[in-house]
Amino acid sequence: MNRKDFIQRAALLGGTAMVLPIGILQSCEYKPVLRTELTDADIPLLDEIGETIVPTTPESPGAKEAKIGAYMVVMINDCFLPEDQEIILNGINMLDTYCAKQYNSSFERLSSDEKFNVLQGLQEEATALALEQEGMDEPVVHYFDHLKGLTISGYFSSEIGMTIAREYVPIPGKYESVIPYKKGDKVWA
Amino acid sequence: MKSVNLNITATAENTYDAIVIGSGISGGWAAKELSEKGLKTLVLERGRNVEHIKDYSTAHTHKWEFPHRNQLPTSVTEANPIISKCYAFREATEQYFVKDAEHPYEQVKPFDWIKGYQVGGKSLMWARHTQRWSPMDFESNANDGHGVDWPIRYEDLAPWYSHVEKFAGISGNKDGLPQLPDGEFLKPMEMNYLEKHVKELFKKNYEDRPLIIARTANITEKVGDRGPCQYRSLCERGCPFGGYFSSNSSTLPAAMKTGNMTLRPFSVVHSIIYDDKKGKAVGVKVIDTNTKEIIEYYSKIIFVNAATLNTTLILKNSKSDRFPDGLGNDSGELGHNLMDHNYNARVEGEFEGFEDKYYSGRRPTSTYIARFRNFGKDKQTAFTRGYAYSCGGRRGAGTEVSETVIGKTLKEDLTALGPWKFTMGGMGECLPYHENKVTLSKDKVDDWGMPILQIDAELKENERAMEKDMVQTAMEMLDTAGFKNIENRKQARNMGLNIHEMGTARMGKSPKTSVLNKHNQVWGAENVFVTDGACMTSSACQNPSLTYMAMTARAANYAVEELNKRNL
Repeated sequence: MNRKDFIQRAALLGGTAMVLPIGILQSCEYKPVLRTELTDADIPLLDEIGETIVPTTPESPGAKEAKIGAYMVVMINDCFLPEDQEIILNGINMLDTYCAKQYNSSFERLSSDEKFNVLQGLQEEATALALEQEGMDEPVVHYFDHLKGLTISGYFSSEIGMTIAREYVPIPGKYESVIPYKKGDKVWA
Repeated sequence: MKSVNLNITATAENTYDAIVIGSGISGGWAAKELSEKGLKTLVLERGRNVEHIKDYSTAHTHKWEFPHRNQLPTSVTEANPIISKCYAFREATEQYFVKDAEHPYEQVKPFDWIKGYQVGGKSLMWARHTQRWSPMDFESNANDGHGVDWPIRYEDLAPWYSHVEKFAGISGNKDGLPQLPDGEFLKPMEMNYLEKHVKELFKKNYEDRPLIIARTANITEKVGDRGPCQYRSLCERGCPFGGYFSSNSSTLPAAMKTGNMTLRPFSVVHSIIYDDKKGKAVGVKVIDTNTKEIIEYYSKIIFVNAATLNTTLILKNSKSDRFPDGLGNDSGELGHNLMDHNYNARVEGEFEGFEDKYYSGRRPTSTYIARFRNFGKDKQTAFTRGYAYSCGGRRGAGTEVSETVIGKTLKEDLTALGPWKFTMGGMGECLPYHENKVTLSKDKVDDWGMPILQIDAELKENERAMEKDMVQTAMEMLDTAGFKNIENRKQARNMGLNIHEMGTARMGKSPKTSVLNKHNQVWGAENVFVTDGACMTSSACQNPSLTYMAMTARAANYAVEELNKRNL
């Protein structure tokens, strides 16, 4: 089985319930994409995933404005091991398939609440998986943990994350061994 | 007749008073001291030039400007499994590390050899801790019988520690600890709120373990036209403010100013030329890495500062009728007694409280607990010698809440301060074992036709027993101080990765058991001096670079005195 087949099969397995009889497919049916690689075409989806994980708030823009989708594509393709890339790709395909089945829509087009609920569900899955494997030497990482980790690292290393959500002083010039801190104060980037 | 004249001219052009092999932390000092004393000095560096400030290409790059936000792509890490283990090898510093394929070596047992081939060597990326050795450290071999006795004592080196500290600029506090002598310090960096508190807690429970601010080559006050430190903590990229000591920022510019130094990058030293009749070295054979040309340079004295293992490689490759097994190797000890430090112990704890206290600026150094094992009243049966701890208190964003939530709650958690944490990292002395050694590969050569090194070294029982104590003791100390969630974050580093490779051309009292005498002269080739990590007879537990600096300045002073007396 080549890599492409494997990924497609994994995606189908993950979303068996969505394999609907062809007869009832309608023209307005949302068809999930079976990705074999992550490309710039996935940026809008990843932007929405990121924005749901780290949203815009009154204090600062969210992950989408920090261009989280483009960051994720570069990092996943360049900095992840093939086995982790596979986990993420399968995961994104499953998510897409799930949204098609559940909402007859892409993830991007869901309402904010729907997006949150979908990802909250994945968070619970990921937490359960991590708990199950506690103490294991090489635990399997849920794809959602990868996406969440990337969102966090990408957002807080972006210009927005470093300079608006946190406080960035490129050249502090001095060290103050103690300063007061109260709730609501920013953290150094 | 004409050709003879040409040869004489060429020889004259290629002749200097002194040749220094290597421009890293010790080579830079040799260059400075020798050229300031009036010697025409040729400094040979195998890598490219890196000019202070001008060539620090990433010094002002913001994290978001790096293609991978300062992380390395797998194409780089997979091609470089060895250097990728080094904490300082990042997108911002890639250019300063020798890639694994560029200079291979053989490992009989796992050994991570981290190299920096450029002007300045690893002094550009070093960690800058500069603790003096103490009288105990020079006596330890004699006292417990491991290795051979040092031919010098602390008193021999003390004035030279002062000499190099004044120029390099070492910040620190005069703590009055006999196991960590005070030096010529700039004002110390400050401990943060938690560290000050922990200092008091430790003082109450462990009288023998004062927590102090590390002595470090980051300058808190201006030294000449350098500095002061701007608290960016991006040192290993090269500091555009000259906030820390490196050859590039400090010794090489001083040497250049004398007009006596010639710096020649792209120059791999093949061997030292020994004249059997004169009974001394007369020069070096160099390969120009651009033209592949082999050139000979001549001088009255030679300082070998190629960084421990390459220094020994050059000596081993310098074969003559007098020294068939490598220059100065009458004893057979050349290549033996390789040491590193053991940094595997790491313990972290969480502190409850001081939620309203924070700090500002990025301090580029840690706090420190000097050796307390097998010192004073402490007596261990499981191991000899001892270790220090590098410690640090800090607060980062977020709490464990962030592990299970998303959305607004997650963002709120990650934009607020989390609890204080305190880390203790053990730094253990390694004993000099004859069987920890490097040899020349029998059949493999590098791109320049030089034999590659085969490294055969490992940590042994004493290091392992000490490691166990480093972990247990740190956990106990944090527990006693009331820390919560104390975690054993033990590392599994190979030997070499602490980048404190020492020994392989040790100093000693006799040519029968050592390679160098008490002035760092090669036995039998007394106009050759080795003053980098190769010369070390034991490893102590302090970071070694300051000692290489002092050793180099002392040897350079002696070399010039001897030259003036016409003894060399």
